Amino acid sequence: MKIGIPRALLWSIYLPLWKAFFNELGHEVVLSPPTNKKILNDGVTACVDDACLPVKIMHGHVIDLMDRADLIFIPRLISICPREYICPKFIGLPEMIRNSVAGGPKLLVLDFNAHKSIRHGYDGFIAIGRQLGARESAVRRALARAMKAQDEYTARLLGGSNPLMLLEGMALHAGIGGNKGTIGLIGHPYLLYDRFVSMDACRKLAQMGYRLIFPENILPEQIERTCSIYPKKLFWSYGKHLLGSGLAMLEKGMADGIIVLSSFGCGIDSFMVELLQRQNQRDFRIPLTVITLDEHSGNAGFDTRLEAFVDMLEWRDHNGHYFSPHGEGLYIC
Amino acid sequence: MTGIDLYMGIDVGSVSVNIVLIDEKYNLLEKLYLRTQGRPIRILKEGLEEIHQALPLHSRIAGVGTTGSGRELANAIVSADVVKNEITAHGTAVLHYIPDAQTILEIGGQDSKIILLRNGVVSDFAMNTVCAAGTGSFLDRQAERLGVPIQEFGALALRSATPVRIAGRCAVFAESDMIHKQQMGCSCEDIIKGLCDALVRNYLNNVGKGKEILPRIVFQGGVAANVGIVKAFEEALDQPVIVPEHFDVMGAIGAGILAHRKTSRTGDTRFCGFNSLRGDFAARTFECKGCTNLCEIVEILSDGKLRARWGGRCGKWSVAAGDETGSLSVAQGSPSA
Repeated sequence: MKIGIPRALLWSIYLPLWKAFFNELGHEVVLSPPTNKKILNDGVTACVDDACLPVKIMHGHVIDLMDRADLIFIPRLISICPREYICPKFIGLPEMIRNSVAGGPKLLVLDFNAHKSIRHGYDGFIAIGRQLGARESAVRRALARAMKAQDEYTARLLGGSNPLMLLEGMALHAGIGGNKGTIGLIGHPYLLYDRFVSMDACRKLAQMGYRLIFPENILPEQIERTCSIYPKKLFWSYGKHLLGSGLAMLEKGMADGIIVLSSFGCGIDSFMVELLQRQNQRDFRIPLTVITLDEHSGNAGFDTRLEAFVDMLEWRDHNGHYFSPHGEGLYIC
Repeated sequence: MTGIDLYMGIDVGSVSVNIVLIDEKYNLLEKLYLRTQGRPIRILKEGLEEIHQALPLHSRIAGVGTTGSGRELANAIVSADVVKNEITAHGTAVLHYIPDAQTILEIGGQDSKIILLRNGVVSDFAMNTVCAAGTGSFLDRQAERLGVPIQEFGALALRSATPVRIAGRCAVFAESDMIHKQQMGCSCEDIIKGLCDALVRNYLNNVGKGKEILPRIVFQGGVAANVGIVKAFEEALDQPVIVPEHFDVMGAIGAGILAHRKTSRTGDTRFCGFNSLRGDFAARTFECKGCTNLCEIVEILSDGKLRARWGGRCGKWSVAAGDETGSLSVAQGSPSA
């Protein structure tokens, strides 16, 4: 059977797991193309108006896959980490798609709920494997292999790579245009690793001569530790992931500046951005800017912000020796 | 005798085209503030012609800088030495005139920004996000709706005794709130003052959120002409706000200064000269059918010859401005993998 995987939302994080699982069970996987204008337009037209841009784009990818796949794989990610949740829009995703996309797309829905324990989370795979007609032993074997593929992928991300390089074959190595420093990019995977939505920010920054560091490069233990400064547990997985990796970048001095990409109307970003900015203001004071993304297709406003930010980094760098509030050359690398 | 070297700064914004001439000491010799009227190319050409006429004897243009959202367009026409974003240009100009400034409030036609300066460099900035509420074009529209010339708008606000509260978060809400207050019988002055307060409140809560606003505070951009807004800022910040003499063309001045710095390193200007601006300039757009992105590609032609081209996401159409010989090279694009 041909199983379509939309190149949207958390595909860039979990593709190796999903793809290997279906391949191991003998199915073919078709991916939708990288987001383009048609996918955006289709998604925006189909989806309810008050959803965020990434969810609208997901709709567009489903529409793209409709006549190319027998089943379209839609993960219902309820919880990806014990005692934590992710954005409620992921929970209602299959229903949203069924109700909004005309022509009744045939969906293969995975319920992933690791709220009790990670092991429980994978029960959903057994269910869809059975649904696809495989014996339970075969499904378990496929899942084990898929999890191994995913572990290898995660290890490469933690080792400093990123989905753009690993999945899209993009060259983002430092030094395309010299090596001026490191910029930390904070944002949900579906913004950072979608070249259309992010207006190709990663390539632009690399071309300006910056090395990039992503939340996916930060060790989970480090994220847990940096987030432990807060009196309450952060129970939104992605909020914690982004905030924690941003804080880790600040604490360890991994980046000369941080750019936060946020999609308009994101509830999780609204607190994550605020907390990160406050912490930076209080203890670190490195250049940090927030760029809000929405349906604009004009690059001018985006490029202006990016350029101004890089100018600011370079300008501060030249004056770093008498600027650092820490008394040491924080901005000189 | 070689004559005096002058530097030209051009700021093509959403509402106005500003051109300045400065000398090596950054004294302002000439300034133009022209409304774009939706025809930036024509207005820019007329402005440049005017500058040409006003050029002092025995002087030459030794450097040109462009800034503003239309900086690429301006560059395509004049061939600039520096093409810089507005933040850097504004920061540069203020640091020259008011070296101890620590905060720049800038409100233009379609965007507003805050720039923090510390120890002579830009240390932080923010721009409005997705909403243009509280920028110049919104004020323009409301002035028109109230039948008050925009030049008198601010002065009227100062005459208000009891300002009314207007919702400032969104231009649409603000407008309906204003209409409602008019229907209640509030005076025009009070409504205008309420609007100024709302705009400032929105600016400080949105663009200025979390920013440390330290003196001296400089307020510039076209909206700084509005004394009502200046007053509202001073009340909200409880501090004096400086409006520089050339508040309306600071971006252009910054571009001119940057052009001087650049050409004093490179030695020569790329400026195409006023004579080659006489030709007929036209912009042409087409849709690239290369992929489903259907990018809108813009071409600038002078007398039918391609001068510059931009607009594609992948960069395959990009042609840099400034080569008059026609041997335009196609920039290295990197189409998606």
